[in-house]
Amino acid sequence: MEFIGKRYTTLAYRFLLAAVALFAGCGGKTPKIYHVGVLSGLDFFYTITDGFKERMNELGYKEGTNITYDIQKTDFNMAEYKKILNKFVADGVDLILVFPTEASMEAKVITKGTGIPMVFANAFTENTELVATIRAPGGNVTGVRWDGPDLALQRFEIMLEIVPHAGCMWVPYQRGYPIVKNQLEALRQAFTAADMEMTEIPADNAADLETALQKQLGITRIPDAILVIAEPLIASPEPATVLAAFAAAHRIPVGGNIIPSEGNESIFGIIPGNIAQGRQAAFIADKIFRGTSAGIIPVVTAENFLTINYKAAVRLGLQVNEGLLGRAHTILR
Amino acid sequence: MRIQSGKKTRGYRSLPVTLTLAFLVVSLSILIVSSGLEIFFNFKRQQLNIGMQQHLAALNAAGSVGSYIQERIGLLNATVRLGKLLNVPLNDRKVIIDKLLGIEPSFRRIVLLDAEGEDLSCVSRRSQFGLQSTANATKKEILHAVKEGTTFISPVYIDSASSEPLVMVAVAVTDAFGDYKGALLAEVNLKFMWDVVDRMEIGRTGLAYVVDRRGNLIAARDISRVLRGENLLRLKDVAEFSRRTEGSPGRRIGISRGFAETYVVSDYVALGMPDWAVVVELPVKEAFEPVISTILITMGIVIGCFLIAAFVGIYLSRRISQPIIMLRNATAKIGEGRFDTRISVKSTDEIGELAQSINRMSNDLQRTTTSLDNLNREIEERKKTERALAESEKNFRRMFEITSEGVALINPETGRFIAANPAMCSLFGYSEEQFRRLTLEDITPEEAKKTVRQSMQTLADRRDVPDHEETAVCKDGSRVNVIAGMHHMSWNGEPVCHITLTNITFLKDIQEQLRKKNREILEFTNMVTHDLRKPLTAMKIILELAGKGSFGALDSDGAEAISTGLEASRYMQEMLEDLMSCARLESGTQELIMEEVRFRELIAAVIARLKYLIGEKEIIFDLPKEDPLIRADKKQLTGALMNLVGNAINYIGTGPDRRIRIGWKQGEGPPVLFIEDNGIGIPEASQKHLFEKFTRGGNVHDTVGSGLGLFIVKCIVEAHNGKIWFESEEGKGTTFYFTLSGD
Repeated sequence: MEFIGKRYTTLAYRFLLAAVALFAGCGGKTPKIYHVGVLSGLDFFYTITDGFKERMNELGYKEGTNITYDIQKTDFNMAEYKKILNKFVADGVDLILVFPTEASMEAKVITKGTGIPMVFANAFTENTELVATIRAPGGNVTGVRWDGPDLALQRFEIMLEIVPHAGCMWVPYQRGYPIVKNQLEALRQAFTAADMEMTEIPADNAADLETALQKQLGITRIPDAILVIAEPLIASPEPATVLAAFAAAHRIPVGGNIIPSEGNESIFGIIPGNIAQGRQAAFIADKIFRGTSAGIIPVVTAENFLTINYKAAVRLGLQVNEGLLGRAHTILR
Repeated sequence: MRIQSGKKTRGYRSLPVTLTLAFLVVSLSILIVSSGLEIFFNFKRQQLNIGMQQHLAALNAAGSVGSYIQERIGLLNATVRLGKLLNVPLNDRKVIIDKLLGIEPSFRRIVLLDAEGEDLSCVSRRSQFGLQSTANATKKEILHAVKEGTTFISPVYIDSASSEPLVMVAVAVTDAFGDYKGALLAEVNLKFMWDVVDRMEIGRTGLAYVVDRRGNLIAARDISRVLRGENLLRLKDVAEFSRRTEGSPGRRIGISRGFAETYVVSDYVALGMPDWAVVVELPVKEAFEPVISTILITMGIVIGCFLIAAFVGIYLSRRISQPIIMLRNATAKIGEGRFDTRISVKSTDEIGELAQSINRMSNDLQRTTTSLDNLNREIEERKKTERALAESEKNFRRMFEITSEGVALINPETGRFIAANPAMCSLFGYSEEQFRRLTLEDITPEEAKKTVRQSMQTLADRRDVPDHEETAVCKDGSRVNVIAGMHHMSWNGEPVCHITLTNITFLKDIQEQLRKKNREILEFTNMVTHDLRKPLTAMKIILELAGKGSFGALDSDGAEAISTGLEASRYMQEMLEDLMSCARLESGTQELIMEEVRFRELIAAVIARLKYLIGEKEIIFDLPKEDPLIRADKKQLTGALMNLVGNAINYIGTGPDRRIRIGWKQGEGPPVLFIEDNGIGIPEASQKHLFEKFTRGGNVHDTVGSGLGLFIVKCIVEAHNGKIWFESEEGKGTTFYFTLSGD
């Protein structure tokens, strides 16, 4: 009897242990913490980071809890881009948010084959080979783009609405900068169609711009307007000041981008918003974190925001129609 | 414990196993049935819940998607009704449309058409340069629809420039009377709806997507599939939506392959306006997770209950069967004859009573068995004793019969012989039968009968009579000398007298012959001694005269020769005296004249007589201060002391402190006299035979002596019924002790 009892007791204990071991394995998973590397390649667009973090927070990615950010800032320095991006790769981040175009192109090269997805913002896709197509970007790349040619045309159309009798416009830009090509191409066609004259003024920097403007003044008449396209020259403070001062000196309306030079501001600007782009990029990042491959997520086109500097326009004796004001997101009075 | 030495009987199954199995089978059956029913009803309930949840999710998703379009249609209608689009100047009309574009970011382009389809006004979020006008066929379709009073919604299309999904929505423009005047057309960017669809939470891992009536995918989380223009008619819900002309299927649950080609539980809701459907899918694993979880928990509970049932079953079966097994084992042991077995069942039920009965029975059996065992043991011991007694009796009988001494048993009260051995019969000439008719007095001569009666009385008083010489009368009247020993003893519980008679008649004869011979030797010795003493005395006188110069002067050699001769004659005289004493003492003819003797005085006289021995030796004599009276033959005692003190002087050695102590000690018996010296002592090898004739110590070769002195001393002491002994250590001295009884 004792032997039988011991045998059954032993079996029962073994069974109980197996059951405990079975149920002990049903533990919960540790939530993943995502590491995002952010390369802000141009100070002017840094607030994209704010929009990105803001939207990520809304999507449930709480900084310090399930997501961390390694935010690296540099101002248009290619060497620094490489260094920062290589650090991100070495750290094995889960995703890289990068802007603008030049930094994005560098990021694509460096992250190739690493499996680290990258989301670009504030970048041009035309003539940059950043993506295969905007519908299927391919590889580990996707992001938020600027539709450069359309943006240039929109700026041209708005300028015409404010300066309806304009016959000649100057278009300054960074010499040799790749993304201006498509914009200039579109504008050329538009100017031709409108039977207008477009003078292209390439420059390398502020001084060069000033020289080029003065030189052009000696060649042609004073333009009816100066149209700023999306490129880095006028986005930089010094050339923008040079341009604004020149335009003010000759009472030439400048438009396309907002130039915040006191007393010499541009009359309008239409550009994608940084915060909005950051939020759009966050939405893409969320898709990637939820399992969608970056390469099959279509590139999103940034929303443009129109700002009318009504005060500057009035100062130049220009009329801004009510319809345009109605479309504007911001009116500066 | 098995009764059959551990061999399993065919078909044997122990009671605990049977009880345990029965308990487990019953418990398990109940658990399985109850758990099965619980799982089944839970599954049905959960299935209903899933259906409801899915439908609610689909309705919620449809509401989100539907409202997205409805809100924009409503905005267009409001613009038409408030804006008076057809009755305002061109610029104002454009302002209205511009504002509408500014209000709603999802409007990419807004076009105002007149009743004929001509563009009255057009504004766009994108550049209008190169923007293609709406196709005439489309316009016709739009106008036809809005003219009929319905809202036009085009199929979804993808903008080639931006890859964004667009849908064209148009509402009728009417005048104040409601008459149809044109259409307000808007391109709505559906990428905002994509975001709405993408963020829809369908469970944890579920998803939602939107299809149109033809099964084309309009919005989904995986935009790439939307952009590919994928058709989902192969999916069950999409196909069903495509077949149904209107409405939604309502609550139902079904499992089918879903958007991701995995098995899902899905549902859909038709939006109506637009003619799309929102499909929601939840993976089967997640949908039935509560059921699976319930099943797992139920299984866990079943396993837990089974284990508990197993434990309880084992415990109860042991509890129930243990007393029975104890009873079985106990009865088996009792059957094997182990009657000390007891059962410790403490229950008060029938099993407890049975155990107590078995214990009582075992107790009774043990008592009976113990008695039998004791009896058997006692019988065995008695047999052994009897055998030993018989053997002993046989041996004693044999000893009784073969002994050469006459042995007989006598009744102490009557003096009649009870038994006599063959030697007894042979000694007296009677048969044993004749002896039994005789008494002890019958074989006792008349003169000894008084002594015999005294002896019989002693025996009657249960005291033994020491061995003594007796004379007995034989059957033929002759007499025999015997040593008689009489001892009382018990025979068959009765007091008897055991008498041993040893025939010493022939010893008496030999003793008489020896005495005769001794007297003859003594007479001869006396005669020889007497004959030798006369010439020896004459020789001694002549030598003394010669020594004194009576026969002329002597030179030194002559004087020395005379002196030596004189010494030799003295020695011969002493030797003759010793031989005479020896002869008298050995022959027993020396008569002792006992008298009171002053011991100290006698010692002093002995020392004075031995001055010639002391000579130049410086010896200190310690004599007793007291002078006790001793009863002894003075002459004999003097002779003994002369020998002992003379030996002490002779063997005092050459040490510086030569001392002879003579004294006496009073003990329980007669006083012990002693002569102690610190002389050369007696070698141990010589001590054993010291009192024998012609024996001398091994270390006294330089001293002249006959070797008879200590023998004579011993004879004198023993003649006084005394004892003599000594203590000696070679080099340290000797002490002689002796007693004299004085009787």
